[in-house]
Amino acid sequence: MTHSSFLQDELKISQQEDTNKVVLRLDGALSATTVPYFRQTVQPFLDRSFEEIILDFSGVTKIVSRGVGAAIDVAVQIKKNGGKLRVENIGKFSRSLYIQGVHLVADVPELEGFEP
Amino acid sequence: MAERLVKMQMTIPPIEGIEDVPVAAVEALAAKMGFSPDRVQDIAQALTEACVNAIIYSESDADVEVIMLARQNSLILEVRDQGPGFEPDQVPAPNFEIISELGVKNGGFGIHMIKALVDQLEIESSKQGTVVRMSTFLSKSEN
Repeated sequence: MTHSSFLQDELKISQQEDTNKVVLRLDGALSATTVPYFRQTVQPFLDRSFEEIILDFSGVTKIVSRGVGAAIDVAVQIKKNGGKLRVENIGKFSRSLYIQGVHLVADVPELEGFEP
Repeated sequence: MAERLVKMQMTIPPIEGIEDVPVAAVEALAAKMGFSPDRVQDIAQALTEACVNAIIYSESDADVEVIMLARQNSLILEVRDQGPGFEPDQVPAPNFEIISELGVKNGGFGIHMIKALVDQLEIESSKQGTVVRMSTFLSKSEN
């Protein structure tokens, strides 16, 4: 599934399911343009009550605050269902995610020296 | 000899995603000035947020201006738009307790994000438009 149009950001989400967890690999931008697509794509996995949803950010090229907010929403929703969100391979976007408090609602790789 | 100021300017149409172009230029400039890779990323992220805000709240086809002012020890970025403006002092700081319980349904994090990423943030806003001025200073270890 791909969201795209001329000059606008693109995001592709691919899935790999296990019994109790699903890995969603994001490729492209998690931006204002692609957030609706992100929410729409992730929602069915939330509805299926996986114990764990893993967002793999290794293919993310850009992230904006709305995108981080959408990831927080996923974490809050899955937590309400008794599951948890893990965000992996956050790389250069670590500080952006921590600034918005993703580490408060999801498992994310530790960021040394982060001061809120 | 007086400290030299290098000024560069780019105008972009209010099209979502086009901010990648000035951001790439600023990344190159900040790296060339000697900012560490982490700080280059912070500057790029802050500029991305400022441009995205200018673009998504734009109510016309008026271009957004991105101005880069480089001195030996500082990089000042200005994003100027002709949008409807807002009251910067009325943008609340995020309440992480509420967010942890209820999530984030809308935006509102952009300004908070920029504040956290640059050394100094000034916002001038009126009904005629907004100027977001972000300053980052080279640390001694980066010099």
